[in-house]
This record gives sequence, C-alpha cells and structure tokens, in this order.
Amino acid sequence: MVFSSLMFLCVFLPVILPAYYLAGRRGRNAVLLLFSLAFYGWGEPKYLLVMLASILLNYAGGRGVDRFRPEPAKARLLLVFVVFANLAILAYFKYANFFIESVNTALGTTWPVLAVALPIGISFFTFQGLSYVVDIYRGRGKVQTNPLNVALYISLFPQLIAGPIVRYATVAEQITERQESLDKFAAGVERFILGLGKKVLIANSMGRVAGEVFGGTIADLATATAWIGVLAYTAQIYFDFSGYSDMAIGLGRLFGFEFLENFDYPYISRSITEFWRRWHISLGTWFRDYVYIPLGGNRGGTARHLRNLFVVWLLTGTWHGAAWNFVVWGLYFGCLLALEKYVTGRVIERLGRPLQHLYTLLLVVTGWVLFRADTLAEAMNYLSIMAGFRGSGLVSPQSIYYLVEYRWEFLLAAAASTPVFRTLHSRIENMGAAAVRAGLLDYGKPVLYGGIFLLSLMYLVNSTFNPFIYFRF
Amino acid sequence: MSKTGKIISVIIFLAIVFGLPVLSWLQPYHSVSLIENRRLAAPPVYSTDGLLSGTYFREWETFLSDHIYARDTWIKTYTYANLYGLGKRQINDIVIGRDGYLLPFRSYTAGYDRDSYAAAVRTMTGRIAELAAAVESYGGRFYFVGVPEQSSFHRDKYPGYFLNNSVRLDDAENLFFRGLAENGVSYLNLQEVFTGTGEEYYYRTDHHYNFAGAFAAYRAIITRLQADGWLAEPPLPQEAIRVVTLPEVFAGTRNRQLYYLYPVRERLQIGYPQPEIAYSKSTNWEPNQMMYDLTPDAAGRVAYGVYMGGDQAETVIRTDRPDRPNLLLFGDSFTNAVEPLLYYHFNETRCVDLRYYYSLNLYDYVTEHRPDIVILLRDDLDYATLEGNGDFDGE
Repeated sequence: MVFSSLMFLCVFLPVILPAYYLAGRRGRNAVLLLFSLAFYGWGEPKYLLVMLASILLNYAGGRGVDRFRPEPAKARLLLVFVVFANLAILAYFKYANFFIESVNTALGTTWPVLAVALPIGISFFTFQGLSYVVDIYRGRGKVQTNPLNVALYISLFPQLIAGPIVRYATVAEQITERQESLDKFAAGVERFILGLGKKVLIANSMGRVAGEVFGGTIADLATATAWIGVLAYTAQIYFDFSGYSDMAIGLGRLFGFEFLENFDYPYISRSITEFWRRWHISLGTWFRDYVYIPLGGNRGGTARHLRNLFVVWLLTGTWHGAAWNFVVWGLYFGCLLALEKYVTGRVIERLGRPLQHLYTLLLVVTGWVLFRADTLAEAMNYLSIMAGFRGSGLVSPQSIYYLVEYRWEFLLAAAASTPVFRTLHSRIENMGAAAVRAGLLDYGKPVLYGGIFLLSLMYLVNSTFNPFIYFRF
Repeated sequence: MSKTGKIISVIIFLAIVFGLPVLSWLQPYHSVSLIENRRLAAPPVYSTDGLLSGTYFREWETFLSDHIYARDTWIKTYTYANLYGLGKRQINDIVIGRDGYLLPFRSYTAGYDRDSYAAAVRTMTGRIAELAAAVESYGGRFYFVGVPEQSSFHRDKYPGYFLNNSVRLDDAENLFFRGLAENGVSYLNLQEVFTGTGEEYYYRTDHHYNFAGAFAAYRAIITRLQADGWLAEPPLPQEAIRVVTLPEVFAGTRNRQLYYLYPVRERLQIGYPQPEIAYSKSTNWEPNQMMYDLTPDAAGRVAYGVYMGGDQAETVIRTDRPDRPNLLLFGDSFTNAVEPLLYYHFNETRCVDLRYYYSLNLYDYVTEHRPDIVILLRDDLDYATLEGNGDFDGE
C-alpha cells in the first residue's frame, strides 16, 4: 500500500484514526503496531516474516547489548553479530543476485541466480533496526523491554517503506511518552496534504515524461528531449521522495510523533557539499553517525579522510540499488565532495551565486542520469546526447510535445523546488493588517489545503480511467 | 494560524477522509461504466493464493478505484480542468486536433515493429486469399474493402508535435494491398475514393466515417460490383436517398473519452434509399425491421450505434428478389453505416461480426449459406489484426 492511493486515503486512514484515538493511551501503540503490520502485509504478506525476523533480531540484540553493558567485549561482540546479521538479511534479499551476476560477467561463470524478490522497504527498516541496536550500545536511548515497542519503532507505517530513516535516539521517548495535540494534528494534516500534492500533482506527471524519455530508444533522442527527460526525472525524484517524506512526517504528527526533516530545498544548493546537507538528510546523517565518524571522519590525515569518504559514498550508492550504475553514482558524488574539500571548494566560493547554482545543478542532473539509466553504457550514451555529440538533432517534435503539454507541471515543479511558497507564507504571517492576515491564515489556508487534497484525489481517480472503444455489453 | 484555523483544517481533512468512503459505500452499485464502455471491477473473491501473493489486496484496490463515490464526476472535472483550465491538447489519451478533430493519442514510446507488422500482413493476406479461393470454388466472389479510420484519413489534423502514426498507416496501405494483389484477391481501397474530393467523410468527434463517407463507400462498392458484372444497376444517386439529420447532439466515441465536454456542432445523418422496397430483417435471430435505432441515451444524445443498432452478431435482410445476388458482408463497426444502403441491391444480405458471432466459423457459415458475394470491410488500423474479424476458422 502507498500513501498516495485511494485504498490508503479512503480505507486505511479512516479506520486507523478512530481506532487509535478510541483505544486509549494504553492501547494506542498496539493499534499502531497492528495497523503498521497490516500496512506492510497489504502489499506483500509473505515478506511480513522478513520484517518480523528483523524485529526479533534487533529486539534480542538490544536486550543483549544492554545486558552485557558491564562487559564491553561481550557487548561489542554481540553488537558485531547483530550488525552482521542485519546486513546479511539485506545482502541476501537485495544484493545476492547482483553479486552472482557480477561474478558471472567478470569470470565467465554460470552460477544460477536466486529466486528471491526484494521485500519492499527492506533498506529502510534494516537501517532502523541497526540504528536501534547501535544507539542502545552507545547509550543513546533506553532499551525497550517490551518487544512490541521495538516492533512499533521498526514497523511504524508512516516511515516504514520510504523513510525518513528515523533514528532510535530521536524517537525513543516518543514511543511511550508522546503527546497528541490539536496543534500537531493540524500541522500533520497540512504536511500530509502538501506531500500528497507533491507526489500526485507534480511527481507523477514528471515521472511520465521521464519514463517515456528514458524508456524509449535512447539513440533516437534529440538533445533537447534528453535534457527534458533528465530535468523531468530531477523533478520526479525530488517531489516523489520529498513528497513521501512530507506525508510520513505529516502522518507521524497525526499520531503524536515528531520526525526529523528529510529534505531542505536541495535544488537551491550552491555546492555539492551543501546539496548533500539538504537531500535525504536522514540517510546522510545515518551514514555520518554510523559509518563515517566511527571510521574516523575527517581526522587522521588526508588519506584516511578520503578513505572514509569513499567508503561512505560507496555504501551510499550501493544502498540505493543493486546495480553498478548506483555504485558509480555514489562514487561520483564521493569524488565531487573530495574535490570540493581539497581542490575546488575555494574556487566555487568565489563564484557568483548564479554560477554556483548552475554548477551544482549541472552536476546533480548529471548524477541523476547515472542513477536513472538502466546500465552504465546507457548512462554514458545519454550524457553524450545531452552534450550534443550524438542523438537525432537538437530539437524534435517529441521535445516540443513535452514542453508544450507539460508546461504547467514544469513551471510548478520549478517554483516548488524553491522556498518561494514558504517565503510567501512568512510574508503573510508577518503582515501588518491583522484582519487580512487572520483571514488568509485561518480561512484561506485551510481552504487552499482542502483544495489541494481534492485536486490530488481527482488526479488519483483519473489515473484509473480506462476507456474502451470497442465493447458491447 | 490560530486555533480556529487549525480546527477548520482538521474538519475539512476529516470530512474528506471519512465522507468519501461512507458515500462510496452508500451509493448504488454499478457493474458497468457507460462512459468508459467497460465492466467495472467486481468485489474480489478470496483465495489463499491470492492472499499470499498480494493479488487479493490489489484487486480490492482496483475495486475501490472503480467504485469510488462520484467517480464519473471526478474524472469529468479533471477533464474539464485540463481542457478549459490548463488548455491541454492531450487529455485522457485524446488529442485536440486542428479544426476541431478529436484524435487518438500516440505515445512516443509505443514503438512500431515494422517486421512484426509485415509478418502479420502476410498472414492476414494469406488467410484472405484462402477464403477468397473457398468462395470462388462454388462460383462466388470475394472482395476486401479497406477504409481509412478517421485518425488515419485526417492525420494532418494532429498538431505538429504529436505522432500521427503515419509510418504504420502507410505500411498498412502499401503492404496490405500489395499483399492482396500478389495473392490475386479483389479489393477496393477507399483511401483512393475519399482522397481529393474535398468532402467531409468523417466525424470530427468519432473514429468512424459519417453518412457521407458511408454513402461514398456504398457507391464505390456497388460501382465495382456492377463493373464486375454482379449487379445490373448502378448505385443510387444522392437524390435517391432520403437523408434525415437527427436533431440530437452527436455522442462521438472520442468525445466520450472527454466526457462529452468538447463542443459538438456535427449531427448524425441517416439515409433511406428511395423508392422504398419491401424487406424482412432479423437481428441476432429476432425479427427487427429497423435499420436505425434512433433511441437517444439518457442524456438525449445519439451515437454511431444508431446504424443497425450498433455491432450485432448477425443481421439478415431479405428482399425476396431471387434474381439478384446474395451478399455476405462481415467486418467491424464500419460495416454498420453501409448496411442500410447495400441491402437495397441484393436478394439477401447477411451481415456478420465475428467478434460477437460464435455459432459457426466463417468457413462453415459460407459453406452453409453460399453467398454469391462476400465482402470483408475493415478499417486500416485493423488490416492485419488476426483476431475477431480476421479469424475465419476460429472456434
């Protein structure tokens, strides 16, 4: 199940909300847990067992490291085992076939691939499980003696499938001590609707454009079409991911949780370093705190720093997908960050803001080609066409088609990528005319958000429109 | 935002979240969508396999989508907003073409496999040749009549940045008729008949030809049959047809995908050959004298289904003139508009649509009735379609 579906909006949500608030303080976590497991099992019931196994492993691991706290060596050994077990689960389901196929390609062997499917959200809930055990080991959160609380932390449906990766230390207290309120609920409603609008009204349309361009014969693309395709993908991935994060944060607030922000207008960044402080913040900080800093961070000299940097970016790329283009994508950003740190950083700082933005966007967009293409060869081909070296001309009817038919979506995506609406909101909040301000905020804003909600529903219903020309019944 | 604003926000949100499913549950159940021309999803049937694979849940999602409260209103509002608000030219897979023509959207990613199409053409022309030989074995004659579909004939109406399917349509015409010629099959290419006359042969908001197109097709067919010695008299002139323009709004198939929101100026016409002759007619084995079903829909509109009451499995029209040949006309919906004209020249006219006729395969049907003339009439989007009216010996 996904948040941007009629099933979630019209069945799941109207059932869980009253069930949660009628359950009383003692029953609310049980309701949330039950519905979270149902949410996950809705799409893939058999993979519920994988998540339950992860929950059990991390619950036992947390109890164990806490119990062995007076014996650091045992605690550490247990921690290593639990980390290894978590990663083994992830490796099996996500990377085993990638490994087999890579070996077969490199060595000419014919090892058979495994008949495994990827359980949805496994990358996210595995990292959350790891976060739990590591934070207990580090003393950054009280161990949960109730396994249902660990289950709730790992399986909590708002952030289960696509993040943000909620670190245990940031929600440990909220699992048992959170407070629901009208303020949080209203803020949650707004945030959820905003995320839904981002996903349905912008990401889905941009996804259609990107899907068509990348799904066609790359060699037949005109240069303009290639640029349009990757810009559409640039918009799609941001609004899809950040929209989902907004919905997750919003849903969390409906139930009294406060999750950390995951995106902060990354496309206004003026350097790659800044970009990665604004993009998928929960993943970046996870790798920083659980990999980069334990390895030594930027201490111990340049060589060690570079090693740590590239380990993190190798893992970041690999985390995103089991294919070589993701690995290259991760290392690409590792190189750029290293360059900014040691070579180009000062040069970039002296550039004017427009050039800084252009520099960053060009490199980010190039990265998205690596990310989106099916293979490295396809990515290289695509980049060549963008540069004008290959392809079928500069502009084609297909280019014009996307620019004309999707002009509103592109304009909205461009505007919404910047904090212009947030700035507008701030201006209204600081207006001198109290009556106008109150009218806009207390009446205009709810109506606006209600309108976005209805508009999103309209687009969702229309996406199921499936007419037949020839039919007799 | 003050407490008032927060309460209003929450109320609006909860009203939608709770109101929509409740209203969906309370509204009457519909099994069919007249707008989408299809059956809506039925409630899923439970099975353990379906549960474990996730199929059961996905079917519930489809069911909910099909039966959401005011589904047609949601889609109609979406269509209206895109048509008149955003000024889009592509909505619900329909392109708003030049001069008010509504055309099907062709995706840039659809792709066209020329080799596969050529292979299908070879198969189809081979089948037609075999059928023609079977008909001629008892002294009959077979003709293939090809008519361009609306978007084919008016492919120039697509705005320049839309695909108009030209490559495939040109192949359809070139490869197919070449294949028929190589197999010695008699054919009539209505593209050649329609081109250059300056007449409006097609509806702007429907994929069929209009009455003028059907009349031109009728004249071309009868002219050919007369030239080949099957008929003594030429086709009726325009003046011999009592043409009636129906006053109701025309509900074209393309406009249906836009919820009939696109303004329509065209009207549907029907024609009665003069002088009238006596005939008896049955439709699907039930007596039915009407050549045209003039019943409007619930909104007072009429559609192409006026002609012969739409696609029928079998229609038989007898004029009791044994000195005239018997005709078997089969094909898709483009046959419907010429049937009320063609019958005038034959003793018995049988019209079959193999997409709905299951009693006999075509070979058995021809063997049983031994029509003097067999005509397959298809539009060029389906020249090489091997199913339906392209499947002559299917069960």
